[in-house]
Amino acid sequence: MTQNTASVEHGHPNYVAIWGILVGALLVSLLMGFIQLPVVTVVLIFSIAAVKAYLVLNYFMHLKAEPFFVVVIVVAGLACLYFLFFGLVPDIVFSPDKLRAEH
Amino acid sequence: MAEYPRAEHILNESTEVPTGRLGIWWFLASEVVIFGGLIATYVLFRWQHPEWAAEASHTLNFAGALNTMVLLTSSLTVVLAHAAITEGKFQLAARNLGFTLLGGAIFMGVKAYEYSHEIAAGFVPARSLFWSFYYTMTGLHALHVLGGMIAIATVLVAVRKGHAPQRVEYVGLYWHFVDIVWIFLFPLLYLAS
Repeated sequence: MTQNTASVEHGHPNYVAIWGILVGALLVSLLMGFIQLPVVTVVLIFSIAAVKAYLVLNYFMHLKAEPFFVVVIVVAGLACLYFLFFGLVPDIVFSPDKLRAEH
Repeated sequence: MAEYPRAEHILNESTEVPTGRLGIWWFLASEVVIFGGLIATYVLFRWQHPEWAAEASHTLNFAGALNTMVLLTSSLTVVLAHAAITEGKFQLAARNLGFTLLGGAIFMGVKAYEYSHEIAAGFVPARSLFWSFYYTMTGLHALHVLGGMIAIATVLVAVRKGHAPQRVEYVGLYWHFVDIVWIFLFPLLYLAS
């Protein structure tokens, strides 16, 4: 173990501006509810959610400033989720009769 | 690669990441699977049950939007606490942690209002699979908010005494994760109706 002194190369990003973008994105998500195209609305709403998560992850959690090893940890968690999702597809999506009978 | 100011840490030699921060990232990666598993299962069931849109229309959009706003703002205050601690401003950091705690309390209050309203209207977990998912996902998330509040309160006490500056970043990382989970729960359970 070694001691690390604080590194102050580029300073902090403008957190208030990022918060403003996040709040703006929230308002846009709410306005999407007025669009009468369900598929378009759902795609847009979840795209906005992904952008919001990206901003929080990279600027508030500073993931983009972390060493590669930390990125690997995050990707490993997401990879597990990816396999879980597609592992569940056959059981849930391709067994509609069984599910509808049960619920 | 961008660099942000950080408080002093003990580095893990093999990864060059402070040990505490490394532990938090591992913890959060495991949390991704817990919440992600629930969300993935919900999405697949929702795909099979378009009629759930009618059920979702009974959730309180204004309360969900308010809570999203509260969590986004508390994410701002906790990252400002981290920024303050890197500049050695312990009291400013403590004040921002206090605002974050307040945000958590408001979130829990709004959630309690929502639950009482929904249960009074007969939307209990046993009503349908949608409501089971709703209470499981939002309940687990609320427990994480509560856990985060306890952790932040503990760090706040230490920071007020001028101790443990690195823990501000650790509780901040956790709090941001809780925020990200809600960013996805809100459209899934409220808006997509």
